[in-house]
Amino acid sequence: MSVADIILSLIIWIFQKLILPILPTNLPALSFVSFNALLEGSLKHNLIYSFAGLNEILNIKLVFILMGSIVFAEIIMWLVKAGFFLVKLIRG
Amino acid sequence: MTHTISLRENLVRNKFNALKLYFLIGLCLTGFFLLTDEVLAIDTIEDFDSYPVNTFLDIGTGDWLDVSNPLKVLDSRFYSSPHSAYLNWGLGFRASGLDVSASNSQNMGFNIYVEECPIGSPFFISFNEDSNYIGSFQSVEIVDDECEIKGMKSGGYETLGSVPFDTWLTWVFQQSEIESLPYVRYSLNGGFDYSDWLPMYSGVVRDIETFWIQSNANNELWVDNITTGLPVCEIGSCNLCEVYGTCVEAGCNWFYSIYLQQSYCVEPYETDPEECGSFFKCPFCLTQTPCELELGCEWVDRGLGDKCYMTEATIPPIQEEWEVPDLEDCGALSGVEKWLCEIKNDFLGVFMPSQAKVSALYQTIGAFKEKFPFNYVDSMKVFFTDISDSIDEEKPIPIKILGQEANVSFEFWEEETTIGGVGETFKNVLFDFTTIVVLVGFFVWLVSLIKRFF
Repeated sequence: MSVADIILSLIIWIFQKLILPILPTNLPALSFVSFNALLEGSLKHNLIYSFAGLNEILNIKLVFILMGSIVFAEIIMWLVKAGFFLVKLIRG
Repeated sequence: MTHTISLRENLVRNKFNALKLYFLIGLCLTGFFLLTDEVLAIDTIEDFDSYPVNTFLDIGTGDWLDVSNPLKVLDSRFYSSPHSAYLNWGLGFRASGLDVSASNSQNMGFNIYVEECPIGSPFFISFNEDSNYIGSFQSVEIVDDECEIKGMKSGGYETLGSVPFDTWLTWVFQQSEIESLPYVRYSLNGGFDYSDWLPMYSGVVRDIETFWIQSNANNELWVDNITTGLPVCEIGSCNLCEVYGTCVEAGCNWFYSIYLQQSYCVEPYETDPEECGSFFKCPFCLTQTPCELELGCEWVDRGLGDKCYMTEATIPPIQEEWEVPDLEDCGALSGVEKWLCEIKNDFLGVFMPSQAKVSALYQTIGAFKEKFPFNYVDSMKVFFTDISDSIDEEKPIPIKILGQEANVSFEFWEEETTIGGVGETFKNVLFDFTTIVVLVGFFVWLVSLIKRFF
C-alpha cells in the first residue's frame, strides 16, 4: 500500500464518516427531484422558446452568467448580513 | 557559580523540553497509527483448522457474522473429487437452509483474503458436488503487480477487475433477478458495483447446497465472514435493486445521477404526491389523462403495465472513471538507463495510488456531489448550459399586420457599415452594444453591492 493509498484512505474515510452523513440530499421545502423537474420540465423549455431568435442581438450566455453571479452574490451577502445580525444579537 | 547554575538550569530545561517534544511526537505517531489501523482495519484471519470436520459453526465460534443459517464444515483438508482431482486442497461448506433457486432470491457472501497473488489459476469457487454440480467460476491470476479477477463468461474466462495484494475480497452471490437462471455475480470489498451476471456451468436451475473454495496450489488463502441472508432488493437496501421495475416494486425510488450520468435505485424519499408534471415528473402521473396532458410524457407499456414515462429518456454516455497512469516500461532499456528507470518507478510507486483507491475516491466524490448544495448547483449549471445550447438562433418571428401574416425579415442584420475604417455587420454592432449595456448594468450592481457591504 503506497503513501498515496493511505492518504486517499484517510480522505475517503473523512468524507464517508464525517461529511456525507451530515449533508442532506434534499431541502425540506423543495426536494431535489422537484427542483430538477421544475428547471428541466417547464422552465427550461419556456425560456428556450421565449429567447429563440434573441441570441443574435443579445449575448444570452453572458446574461445568464451574470444573473447567476448576482443571485449567488446576493445570497452570500444575505448570509453574511444574517451572521453579523446574529453576532450583534448575541453580544447585545 | 551563578553562571554554572544557570547553565545547568538551561540544560535541565532543554532536556525537559526535548522530553515534551518526544512525548508529543510519540502521541502524534500513536494517533496516526491508531487512525491508520481504524481506516485500514483488517479482520482477524480465521483459523479453519480449529473447526472440527462435520461440525456446525455456532454463535461465539470464531468471528462469524451470521449464523442464522448454520454452515457446516465438510472438509478442511486437501480436497479431491471426480471433477477436480488435480486440486491440492479445498474447503467446503454445507449451507443448510441456503436456497438460491429461481423461486428464492436468497444470497450469500464471504470474504477471501489473499496475502500474495498466486501464479496461474490458483483457486476458484464451485457449487455442489457430483451429480448436482452446477459449475465453478472465478479465478485469481497474477498479472504484473496486481491480482486480476477472472470470471467465467459465455466466451470463456474474462478479466472482470483487479484488486491489489493484501486485500479482503467480498464476493456476494445472488440469484439473478433479470433471468430465472442460476446466475451469480460478485462485488469487491463490500461495494455495490456488481460484476456482470455470470452463468453457471450447467445452466440448470438447482439449489446451491454446498460451495467449495478450491485450489490447485498451496496458496496462502483465508476465508471469513461467510454469511447468508444478505440484504436483497428492498427498502433499506435499495442500492441492490438493479432495474427500474424491481426498484419501484420494492418501494424504492429510481434516481438519475447527473454527476455519474447513470440511473440507480435509492432509498425512498418524501415527494409531493400531487407532483404529476412534465419530463422527470412523469412517473408521478398515475392515470392516462393527466399523463398525456403533461409535456414530454407518454402513457405506454414498457413491460410493467401501462405507466407514465418520459417520451425520450436521453441517457448520456457513462462517464469514465479516473484512471491511474501506468509507470514507465523499463523492459526495453538496458544498463544504467534501466537502473535509473527502475529507481524512478520504485520512487513513483510509493506515491502512486492504486486503481481501487482512486475508484473509491471517485465514487465518494460522486456521492458528495449528490448532496446539497452541490446537486442543486449542478442542476442549475445543466439548466443554463442546456438553455444556451438549445436556443434556436434562426427561429423566425411571425408578425400579423392588417390581416397579413409574415415573418420579420432579418436581412438587415447582415448589412455592413464602416466603423473606424473596419467593416462590421449591423448584427455584430448591435450584439456588441447590448453586451456593453449588460456589462455596464452588471458593473452598476457590483458597485451597489460593494457599497452595501461597507
